[in-house]
Amino acid sequence: MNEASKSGSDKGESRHVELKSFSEMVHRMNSPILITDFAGKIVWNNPAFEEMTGFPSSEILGKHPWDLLDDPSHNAEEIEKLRKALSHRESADVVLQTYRKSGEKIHLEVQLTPVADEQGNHPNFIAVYKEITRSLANEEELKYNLRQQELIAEIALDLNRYLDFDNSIEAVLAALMQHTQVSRIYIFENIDNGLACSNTFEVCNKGIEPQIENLKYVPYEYVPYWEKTLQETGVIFSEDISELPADVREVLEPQEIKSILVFSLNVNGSFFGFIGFDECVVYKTWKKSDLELLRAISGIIGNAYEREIARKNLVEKNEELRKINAEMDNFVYSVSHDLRSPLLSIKGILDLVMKSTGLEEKTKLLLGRAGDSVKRLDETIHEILEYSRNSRLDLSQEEFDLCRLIDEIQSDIQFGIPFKVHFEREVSGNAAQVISDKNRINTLLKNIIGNAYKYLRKDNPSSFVKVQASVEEGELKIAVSDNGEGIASEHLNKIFDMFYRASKTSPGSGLGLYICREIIQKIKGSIDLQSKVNEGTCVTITIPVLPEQA
Amino acid sequence: MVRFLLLDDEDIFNFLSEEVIHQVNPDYQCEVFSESEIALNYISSQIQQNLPVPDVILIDIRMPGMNGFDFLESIQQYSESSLKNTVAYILSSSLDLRDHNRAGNFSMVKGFESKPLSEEMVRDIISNLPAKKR
Repeated sequence: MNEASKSGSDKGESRHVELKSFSEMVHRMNSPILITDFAGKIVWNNPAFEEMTGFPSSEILGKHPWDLLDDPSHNAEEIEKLRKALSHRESADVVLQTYRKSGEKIHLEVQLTPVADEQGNHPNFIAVYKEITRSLANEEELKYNLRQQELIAEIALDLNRYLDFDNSIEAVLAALMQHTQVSRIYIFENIDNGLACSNTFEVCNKGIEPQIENLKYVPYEYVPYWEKTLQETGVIFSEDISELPADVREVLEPQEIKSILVFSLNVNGSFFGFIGFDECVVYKTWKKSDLELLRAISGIIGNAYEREIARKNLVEKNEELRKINAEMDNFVYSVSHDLRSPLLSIKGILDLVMKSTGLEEKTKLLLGRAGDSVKRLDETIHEILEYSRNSRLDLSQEEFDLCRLIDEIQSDIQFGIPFKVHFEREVSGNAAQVISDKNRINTLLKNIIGNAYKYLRKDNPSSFVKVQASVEEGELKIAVSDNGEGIASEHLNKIFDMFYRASKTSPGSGLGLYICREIIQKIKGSIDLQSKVNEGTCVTITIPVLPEQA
Repeated sequence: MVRFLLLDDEDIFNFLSEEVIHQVNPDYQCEVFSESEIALNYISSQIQQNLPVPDVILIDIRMPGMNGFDFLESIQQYSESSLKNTVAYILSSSLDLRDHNRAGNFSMVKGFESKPLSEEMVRDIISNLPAKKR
């Protein structure tokens, strides 16, 4: 206060009194406060200002506020505002970034107000400070937390995108490097049934020597502490590795590591490897929130490995299945070929003998029976093949002429029986050309129409088989009806079973309708069978088809 | 006069085919082979010596060593010259659709028939030959 009184004018005394009572009033206020003279020199400060800045009063008084608190690089604009307010004797609010005496950076809000005397002059200014460092720091921390959350989201997304697992992991490590700015980040995977580990991924900061090639095979027996600690606690954390046991130091020191943070990676609940963060330049202190973040990310990476391993297994199994399928395919065709060859030669011989002259009627009859047996066995081979074909081959979509298909099937069947049967075909216009699985529909119709012919009543002169087809709401509906023997109700729920034959006299293998049901399941259609003994049977199949191409 | 070439590793089918062919017409000639390589040599030497080549080749697919497709590939080179009037039919016990599809790739192959050869098949084959051959 002395300085203020000395530099006062004639009216200094009365102002001095005024200032004194005023200063006593603000002395005890918590806010740091300065009073300057008209030139901006500090003439008074309260203890709160000393406390905030760390400067004693003796180093404050007589200086300009910006001598104490200046940081021109950040404050040029704000200081300009301050000078302008001083020269115009106006009030102003500014925000300054500055330093305590200790060098610690602080942020201040300053309210500058001119104080008028009786003449209306403004010889003094009062500056009230408010430290906002804390709230700015909070804001920065919030931003940092947000960045951490973004990082976690980014990493989860990278790993889920799953274009290529290795690329995803590389991207994740790069993102972690950008965030942590440590020297080295790496992943080790256990090998040799967990007896050793191998460095599989690594990213290094600028100027840091990569280690991945030196660490392709690290037996855990060299670093028992490492394995034990990771297995038991899931983490190795040291801000100064000299505190770690010798076995671990021997491995870490040649890599010039000062601080280290490692999390175990677990896959399906067991120790799979680890992810680590080396610091080789300084002794790193980690934020608690970063430790938690990295622990969470290690968990995410562990999950990604889990899925990658499951995916690889699946690919392998698929490949295996494909191979087995192809082998099965060849096997089935070879077996059917080898079974049919002798059978067909028997057929050829029988045909030749039948053609020869002078055969007794009984011989002819017996030869005919032999021929029937050969035919039945061949049909069974066909059916087994059709069954295996249906279960192994993928669905196909091709456009075909349904009328032609039905006619071909009908004429083949009619060809094989000695009497003529009345056949009707009603195919509505929209069903003439359909796009579906032609081979499977062929097998279905061969079996169903074949059955209709097989179980006609031999004594009925007006036997008929009728096939009706139409497309309704994207579904092909084919109904095959006959006025044949019909099926007794006790058999109805079993006729689709494998090898089920309603009676000993039923011709066939008992596979036909079973194959039909399998095909229907495969092409996601439905099959319905209505039958009455001695009246006839109607089988209706419904199959999804593609709309006809325009 | 029609010349047949029969090629099947199983002699029984060659025998049956020859019988059936001769039932249709005893004058039809049959050259019978159970090994593709020998059949191939026969055709090459006929061509080299300017001797008559087969009009109809009946061939099995699944044979040890050189199979039916290998054989067809080997004679494909003559299909536009010496064998331009020769037709081939596959006579097989195979139900493998891949065999059927592959047969379609050979211009000489006019049909894929299931064994055994029947008189009806022989008549069909003959009726599809150029008139002067029948």
